[in-house]
Amino acid sequence: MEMLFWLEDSFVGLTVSSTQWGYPIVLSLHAIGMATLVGVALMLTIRVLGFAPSIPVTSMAPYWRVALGGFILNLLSGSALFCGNASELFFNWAFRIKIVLVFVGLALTWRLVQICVKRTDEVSSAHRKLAAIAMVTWIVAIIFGRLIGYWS
Amino acid sequence: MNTLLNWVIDTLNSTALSGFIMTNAYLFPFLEMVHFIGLCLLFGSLIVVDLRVLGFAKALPIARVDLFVRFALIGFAINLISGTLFVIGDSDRYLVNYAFWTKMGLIVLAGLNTAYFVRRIKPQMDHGLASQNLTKDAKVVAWLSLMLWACVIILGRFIPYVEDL
Repeated sequence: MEMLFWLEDSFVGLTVSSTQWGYPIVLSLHAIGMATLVGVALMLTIRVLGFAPSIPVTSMAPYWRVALGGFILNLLSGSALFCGNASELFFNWAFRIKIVLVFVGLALTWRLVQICVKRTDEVSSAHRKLAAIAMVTWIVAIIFGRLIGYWS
Repeated sequence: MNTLLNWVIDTLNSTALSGFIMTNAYLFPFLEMVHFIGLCLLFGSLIVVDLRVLGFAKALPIARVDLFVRFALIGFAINLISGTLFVIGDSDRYLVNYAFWTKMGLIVLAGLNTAYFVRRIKPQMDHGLASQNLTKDAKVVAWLSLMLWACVIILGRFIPYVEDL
């Protein structure tokens, strides 16, 4: 608990919570990072699920780095947002579930990239299953992210 | 202008749909979730297409990458519907908001940019021209597309925070 208050009183925490533009600026960066990470992850899973078969799956591998860029942006902006309201967010169940889902979504998509997108154009049913689960995980993560403001 | 705006707001507020959107406790959060998923589809597909035009992921056949534009259209349609419902529900909040109108202006610009892409750039891509052989305006169009939509997302996020300006 003291740790949470310490985060709120830190420079980053106070910039997010107590300056006029700190919160909306960091929130906007978080939205851009989400659109990049989840957007690219959705496109990769959509391709593995069988859309656009005339595009080789492996030719999409370079986009994974773009998705990781979105993740880094959101790790930073998300940490800053957490500092701004740590003592409430830490106990918010929607927040806790969202964080777990984001890391699960990232791990599943990472695995999909390693065993399929970077490796082979022969998509197996196991690849498709993994893509479908990753896609659903991202969508549910967004749902819980939105719920943070409504449900604690 | 202001009387027209007030008339629009009053008219929207008096509709049954507006009352339904604002009184149903689950509908507005649900529409927000839908709006976020729509923006991911839109922005994700544009990243794939625009970066390819800029010379990224060269192994991806440039004559085929426009297949992904479909998801930008799906995302846009989802957000046009969910966004319209936000405005119908809470018009006295949105229709007087600077960030909202700037966002709408940028969406119009992004639409014109897309029209230019379809007329001038896409035919070159259909012929399979390598990205470095596309006419120079292709790179401008691709960058503009990414920048305009990023600004649209940012302005949407700013709507609640510019109300006192």
